[in-house]
Amino acid sequence: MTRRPITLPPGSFLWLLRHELRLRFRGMSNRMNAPFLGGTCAMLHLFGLLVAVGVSRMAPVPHATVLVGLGILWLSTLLFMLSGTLTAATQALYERGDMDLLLASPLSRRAILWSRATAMAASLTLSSGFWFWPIANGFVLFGHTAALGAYLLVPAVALLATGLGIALTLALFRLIGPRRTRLVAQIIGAVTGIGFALVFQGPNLLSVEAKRQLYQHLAAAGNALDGVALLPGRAVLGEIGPLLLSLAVGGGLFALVAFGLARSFTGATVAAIGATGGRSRPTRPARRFHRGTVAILRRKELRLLVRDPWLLTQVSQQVVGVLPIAFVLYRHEIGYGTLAWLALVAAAGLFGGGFVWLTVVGEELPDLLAAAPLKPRTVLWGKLQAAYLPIACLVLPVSAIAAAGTGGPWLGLTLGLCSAGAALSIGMLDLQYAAPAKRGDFRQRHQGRAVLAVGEMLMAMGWVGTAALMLIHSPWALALGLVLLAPLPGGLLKFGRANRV
Amino acid sequence: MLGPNGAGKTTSLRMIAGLLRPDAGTIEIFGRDALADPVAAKRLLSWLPDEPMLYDKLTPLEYLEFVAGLWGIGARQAESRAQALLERLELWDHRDERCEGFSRGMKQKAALAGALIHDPRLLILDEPLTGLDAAIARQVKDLLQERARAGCTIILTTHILDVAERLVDRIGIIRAGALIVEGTLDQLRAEAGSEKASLEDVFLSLVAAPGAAD
Repeated sequence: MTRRPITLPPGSFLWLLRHELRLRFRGMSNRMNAPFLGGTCAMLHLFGLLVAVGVSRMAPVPHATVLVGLGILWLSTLLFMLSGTLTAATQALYERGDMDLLLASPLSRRAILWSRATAMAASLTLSSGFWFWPIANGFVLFGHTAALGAYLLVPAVALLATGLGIALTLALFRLIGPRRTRLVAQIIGAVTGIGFALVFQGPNLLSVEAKRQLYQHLAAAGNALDGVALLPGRAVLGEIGPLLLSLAVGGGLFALVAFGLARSFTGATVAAIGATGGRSRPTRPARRFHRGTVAILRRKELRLLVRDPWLLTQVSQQVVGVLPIAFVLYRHEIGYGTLAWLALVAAAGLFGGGFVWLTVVGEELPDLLAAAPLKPRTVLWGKLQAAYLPIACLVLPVSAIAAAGTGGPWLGLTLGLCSAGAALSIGMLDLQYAAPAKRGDFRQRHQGRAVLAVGEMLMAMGWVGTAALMLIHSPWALALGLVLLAPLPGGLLKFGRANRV
Repeated sequence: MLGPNGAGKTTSLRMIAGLLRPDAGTIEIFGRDALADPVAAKRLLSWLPDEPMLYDKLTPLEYLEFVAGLWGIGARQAESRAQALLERLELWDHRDERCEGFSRGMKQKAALAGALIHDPRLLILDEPLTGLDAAIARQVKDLLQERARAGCTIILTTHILDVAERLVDRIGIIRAGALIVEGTLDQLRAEAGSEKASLEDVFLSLVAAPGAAD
């Protein structure tokens, strides 16, 4: 017996929503297989159970302090989701996709925005719920049935974040125009992401004394705050009233935006054409032509890097992901002041991976280069120069400043060496294992290559660790550095064999 | 080069341009073995696919600087050729605008300028007139005829048989990966057995003929 597909009235909201969800989740099912999902889910349940056990054994904490702490968790989750919706709303405006088709159809603008926004919220709910719900289940298994409230809370926060994200993007569009909105929205998204990371990891970065003081402040805040300010904490705790209120506020704002701003959204989508391709865009007039094939290759790649509209968000989001964890890992080894310099190492490494991907893997016109009378090694050499030149321009002055300051020459040398190592090893990792893709797919370059994504993050953290070990003159720095340079021979081999391709 | 969809026209052109390696056979470009010494062969030719090869974030002038650099043209010579080509194709006023804002026709013209910047002896064009309006198509055809008169060999594929009938000296018809006939229009008419037939009639009769490719 064949299964009949569910038929929905064409052009209806549900029909459009099904289309949106199919587009969003089709790629995901290819990328993740059932054992991977099942294994991760089981691990998260176990983690939730362990957290529940840990919480039950903690010394009693005043209820108000708990509420403030959970309120901060709610806020950090909202910031995290907001970072995602800002990016998604900006993409919806600037990356045409099927928007032109939808706008040219007789569908109402309201139905289009309503379905797109709902898909955005659903996707946020599922991606956040994937992490939060198993942990909540762990609590439920340990007897904290109120944790089931997470099944209501996550969609409530997702609806709120989606409404805020769309409203903020449209406000930016109106205030600063289509050209600047994309950049500013990316910066706000990145800063919001940093806010999330700091709120989430902040306590781990503090010393025992500072942490004690923080808890005292939280307790004082808990006592001082009134009922409304504590509502998010109560909602996280699973109290039904605040939970329903969260859902009402989130759903209300979402509905207000989806219904009220439909005209503005579609208007902005049309206006964004001027910023993306419908109208010619003047650029600073070119000066005289340059000499030398490698120099011209390098110049072209640098121009494209500078003009890449999504580079900033991507790399800053990665750095935001790596730094707090790396800082937590190595905070006991060296002082916080010195530790801050090591951000450079992580940034250089992740820029190395991103730039090598953009210049080599994401080449837009491989056929043009293949048809040119050049040896592939020459092309690769020019591209690698372009990938590493901006990193050198970042690392060398910062290392020099560090060396000239209180850190002394050893700090400068450490930063220079470890940043170079990080950029080389992560870049060579991408050179060898990244799948060829279009430059425009930069943001999705790790799709289907989760191992590569994790490898990049681990390497960046590893190089921060190597730098920390170097700073305390540990001989293990050399050993760790050599291990982390493992992708280098493979990359050099690929470079050496380039002419045979 | 004419042929039905999927006949192997683009594949043949990509092999000549050095983008695909044939399973068997040889490719010679003005006496140079394109398989043994691809770099020497590529120096002589230029390839322009049906979708314009352009970097959206570069301006036409920056693109031409890049392509000229790939073919090792000196900066001064490249600069004057770029200006001449952009002026000839009426793109000079747009030389400092990024290609992302260009229309299909403007993109095709910028890509054609890139294909001509190193003055190739062999120009390979895949559907060069697809999607162009009458005025731009005319500009492109005029430029191609100029180049042909100047001694450049041009191989092009097209589905617009009127263009082939009026523009080209020799026509090859390819079917299922094999060249079934090649010659002047009159020779093709003779092959099809109809001396006053249009190219469309000749093409259809030759492509439809059973066993023509065998």
